[in-house]
Amino acid sequence: MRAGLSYIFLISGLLILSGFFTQAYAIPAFSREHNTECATCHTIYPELNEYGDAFLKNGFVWNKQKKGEPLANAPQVKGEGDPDILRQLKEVAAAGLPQKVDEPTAASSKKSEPLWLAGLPQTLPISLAATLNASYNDDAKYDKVDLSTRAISLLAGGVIRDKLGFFLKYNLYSEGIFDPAQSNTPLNLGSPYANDLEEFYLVWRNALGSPLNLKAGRFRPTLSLWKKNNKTGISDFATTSFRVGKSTFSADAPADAVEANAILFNRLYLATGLVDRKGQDANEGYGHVSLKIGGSDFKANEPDIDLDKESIFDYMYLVLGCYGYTGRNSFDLYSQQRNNFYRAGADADLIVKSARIKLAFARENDKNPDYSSHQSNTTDVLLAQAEYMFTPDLLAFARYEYLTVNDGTRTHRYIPAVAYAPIQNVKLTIEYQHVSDKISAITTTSNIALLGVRVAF
Amino acid sequence: MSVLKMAIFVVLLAVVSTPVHAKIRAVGKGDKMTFDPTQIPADLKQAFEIMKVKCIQCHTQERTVIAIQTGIAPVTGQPFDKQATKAYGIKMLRKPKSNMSREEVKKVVDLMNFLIDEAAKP
Repeated sequence: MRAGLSYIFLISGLLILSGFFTQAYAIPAFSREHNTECATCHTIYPELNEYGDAFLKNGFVWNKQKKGEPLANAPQVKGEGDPDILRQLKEVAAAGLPQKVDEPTAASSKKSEPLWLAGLPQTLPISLAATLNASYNDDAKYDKVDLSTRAISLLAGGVIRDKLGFFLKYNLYSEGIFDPAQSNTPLNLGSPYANDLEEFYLVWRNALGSPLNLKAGRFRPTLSLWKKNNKTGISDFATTSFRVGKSTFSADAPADAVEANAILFNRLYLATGLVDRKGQDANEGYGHVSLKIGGSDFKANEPDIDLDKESIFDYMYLVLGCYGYTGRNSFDLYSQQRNNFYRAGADADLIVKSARIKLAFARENDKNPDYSSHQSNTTDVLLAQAEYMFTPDLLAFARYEYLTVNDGTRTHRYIPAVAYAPIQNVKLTIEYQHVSDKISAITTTSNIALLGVRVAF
Repeated sequence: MSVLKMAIFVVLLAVVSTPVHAKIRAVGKGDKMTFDPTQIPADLKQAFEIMKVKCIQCHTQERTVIAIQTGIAPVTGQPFDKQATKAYGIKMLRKPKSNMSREEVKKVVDLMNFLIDEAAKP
């Protein structure tokens, strides 16, 4: 316990020290390639804002950007600014090639035409992300305070000639088994159990000139409005992370899949896909529809606002989404015990100035979730989260989750949290969870405090 | 005498042929770069003060200077014209905690449009 308190003091000290950070630059892969700050796409990293969402939906390309392609009308360079930058601009304009211009001279001078001709990104599209967590569980009999290095991941992403997007997340380390003979911290379990390759997929943008983007590889199927890591808190959303019985299905689990998605009328997003679960003769399928009302559209075009008239609607937007997933799983490859299931859900994301409300509902029906009794099971999960951004680097939210199963099981979760980003690529989160479970007329409660540090570079 | 006439002629020619605001000048380098304040007319001075204070809360003034001078938005690579200045103004108005009022956004958009016009002069 004393050692645990020492850890808390140590981390508190780091938190206090972080308050003295005055300037830094976020530099993960997309930031480097596009020479822009994390806040372009994120509220507090890694939660996406509407521009980050548009960037993701468009296969990692800015709207209408023809980056790396010749412009029809090469820009005329004017002015008397930084002579070095202007000289480069004039050279690029003369060649008809657009080029980013706000980089420091040294970086700009490294722009390579051969790299562009070869379809290679101008910067190595790689970054690292790491998370450290500390938890305090007063209800635990032992190890009330736990400090853990949870994961270190290699991230890569980008787009080649605006045609082929790619994204990769490889877990270099994720906390696994504890073997005191080897180390006093849990070790990486090792492949395949550590799920080392979490995501790797390619996106063929606007296939054959159509609005369709074709995606293939290992990724999280497009179901909920919010991808697993699209959050400021530590814990996952119950509506996407819950599992039923012994079923291995989770809506936010990565899978080998192919997906077709498209943005229609700039405000309607459709996605449908097939998941190949190993060892099964039948593929699983899913579909997603979302609609954006107000704000910029899914291609990040700003709405036409009259700057002479004040209206609260100019500061708000609503995204509505729904999805369905149907599949079948089993205990092992040779088992005749199959579980047919479906998952359906609906989400709403409302933003009004600095306030944000997320609402979600999910229902899963399993025909044989224990792979033996063929006892049908229906699980409903509700979620409501209210979030407020106090400053660009400080955000707080309160979340309520309610899970109910047709056998009478009820779970309530209350989760307040504060997220702080002293610099844009470092996030500190303090989260508290109060959980109340009612199973067979017996109610139990638990209280956990979590402190998380996430850094990407 | 003829030399004096020639000198006066040359000076007058130089004065007449120098376009006013023909180019957008910038002062400073890197993140210290900003528009040369001497080329901002009196009625846009207030807008320039707003720009100097509010815009740099999130990005350097160099980004704006380069966009105006080149006609290209540096991050997106898109044309930076009057349509774009309004779109960026709206984006900044809608951005949480941008701390910019409607009136301030409008003034800064007007200033950027003026600078674009000036930059377009031969």
